[in-house]
Amino acid sequence: MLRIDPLTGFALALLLPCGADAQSGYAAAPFRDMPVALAQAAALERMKVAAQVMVAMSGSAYAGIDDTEAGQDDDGLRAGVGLFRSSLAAVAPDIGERLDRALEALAETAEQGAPPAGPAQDVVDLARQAERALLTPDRPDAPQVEAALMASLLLDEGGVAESYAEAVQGDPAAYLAGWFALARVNALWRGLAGHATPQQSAEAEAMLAMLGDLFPGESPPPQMAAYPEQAEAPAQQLVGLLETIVDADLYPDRDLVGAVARVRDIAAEGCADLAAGDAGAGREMLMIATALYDRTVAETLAVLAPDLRVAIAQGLQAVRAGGSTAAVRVCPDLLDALAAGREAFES
Amino acid sequence: MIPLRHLLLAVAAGSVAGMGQAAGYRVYVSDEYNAAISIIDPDRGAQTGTIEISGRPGDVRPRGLAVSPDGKTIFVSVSDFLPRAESPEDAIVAIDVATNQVTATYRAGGNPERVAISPDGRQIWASLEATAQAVALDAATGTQLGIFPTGIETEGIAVSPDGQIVYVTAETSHTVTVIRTSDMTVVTHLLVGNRPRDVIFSRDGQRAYVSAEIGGTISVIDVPSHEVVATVNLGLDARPVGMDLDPEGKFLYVAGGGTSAIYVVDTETDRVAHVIKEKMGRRPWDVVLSPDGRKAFTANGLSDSVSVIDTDCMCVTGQIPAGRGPHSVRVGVVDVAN
Repeated sequence: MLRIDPLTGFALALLLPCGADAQSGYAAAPFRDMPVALAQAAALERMKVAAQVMVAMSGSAYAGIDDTEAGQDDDGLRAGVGLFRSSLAAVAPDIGERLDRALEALAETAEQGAPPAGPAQDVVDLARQAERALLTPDRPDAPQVEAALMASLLLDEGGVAESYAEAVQGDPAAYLAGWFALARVNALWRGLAGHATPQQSAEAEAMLAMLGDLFPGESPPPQMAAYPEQAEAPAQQLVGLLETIVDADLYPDRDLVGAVARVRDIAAEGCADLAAGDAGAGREMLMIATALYDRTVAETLAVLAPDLRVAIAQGLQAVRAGGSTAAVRVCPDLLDALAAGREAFES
Repeated sequence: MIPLRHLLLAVAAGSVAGMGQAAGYRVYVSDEYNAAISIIDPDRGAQTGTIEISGRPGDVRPRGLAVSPDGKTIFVSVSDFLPRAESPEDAIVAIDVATNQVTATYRAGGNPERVAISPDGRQIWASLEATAQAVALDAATGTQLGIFPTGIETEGIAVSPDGQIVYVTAETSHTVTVIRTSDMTVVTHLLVGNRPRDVIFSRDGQRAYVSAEIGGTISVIDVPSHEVVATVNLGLDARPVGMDLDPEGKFLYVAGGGTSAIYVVDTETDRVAHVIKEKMGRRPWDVVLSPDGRKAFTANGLSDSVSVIDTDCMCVTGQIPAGRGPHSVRVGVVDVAN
């Protein structure tokens, strides 16, 4: 099953008595307790959205529009699979192999200039199957997990708010990405609404309605409001409401000391996998560590300790690219740099 | 030039020659989506006029406001809506409170978001969101005095009461950059709460307060050491943004943004003394105290209004319509006798 990293969570609980829940006051902290699972789930969500965009852009509404952006989505699809390929192979190898073949077919159609709708739809379907294989729907913390996914879909790169900012500047693929991400947010909300008080529910619906006004249909409106940040305020407000509704911290970087400690723990696990000869698992963990690092702590380190930021980025790249030999050589310095990053935040 | 705070306290005591007892004030609100400044008469509780910043609402937006030490000039940071690089719209605009006319427009740099004025009134400081910088301009000429690297997505900016230090917040890197004005040097960067928005110095300049929107906190900085010495937790769902201090500096008023509340922090205990929610407008993004400290005004971004707070009852007593998308609010002093 999914690498929910109980050992990491336990270790963090011991190491971080002032961790995310203590700091924020919420009962749960899904990004702290299951960073690997959520990174994989978010990668699957992004994969589905990107593939849906490709299907939609094959349709008549987008005929004649340069699909360069859709091609870029294809690159993103193949990169994202690295965050869960090994885990999926462990629990559902058949789905993993079919997903790889669908991605390969998608790449070929893109190269040939053929309509990608068929293979892209296959990717959407297989990503859904992968999601079911990796995430257990009836897990007790499902509401917190789903709220965390909603937060990712709303606020992350390629999500609702960021896509709207790109769409305002005339990017139809970004509009579609926002549209599909918002559709998924609405679907997840229908599962969570029962946990909200009537007032919370009304406020959340109001924020979703504001976002819906910005994405009125699958095709961009003839004229979009020229405010790139217009989706951010309701998206942020909705995430704030979700935190209250599910009593969980939904910002992975609210506790930066904890975030850099998580990056180090995941990187250490990846390094150990590589050193033990499990290149697939090692690369997967290091890709997740990189994604978490980029999302949560890289920009702060760039200001407070720019040399460390460079050292960590180079270390992560070298270990991912170099296999087990590189791991033995580079990992100690990388893990030391991440530990120093934590000290930079604490000082 | 007499610092505004001293002037206002003296006016409240009726002791400034030439000012009589009739000195009044106006409330200025930057309307982000109208490309205009709303002028509000607090006695009438009504908007009495509008200052057009640009004839292209939707392309140009006014955001941060600051007032000169004598209260007679309002400075507005103006930019476009694409915070990626410097554009021709990026400027600092000066408005004369007596006439409500624009008296100067200075080129600022990449996407100025908030603005501050030095205590002697000679320097304008602005945070440049697009370029991760802060800029100092000569208030009389607009000449650039210095430009400084900051954290990422620069936002809040404040000059210490002695004019020696400038603090600049950066929302993406969660940092405050410290600039020393004597030699125009960046002293250090420090980590504060998550997504810092606004910053304000205490009246004596020994402390600074930084609102952290996602952190839901106020970071309290010891200014001599530039270290965070306390964190005020505003509550689970708090989303603090703009701030102001009362004239004595005893209470810090914090706009709750997405929480649609005003938090009032006792600066002696660093604890929340009041939370004002009832009848508040939606998404208050900034707050300002009246010169006598008896009223507070909020810029409500989602309800296009200003809420009026009575600081005796700590309750909302009225709503005044403003333009579209109020961002910041400041008070300008009007010499009614003249």
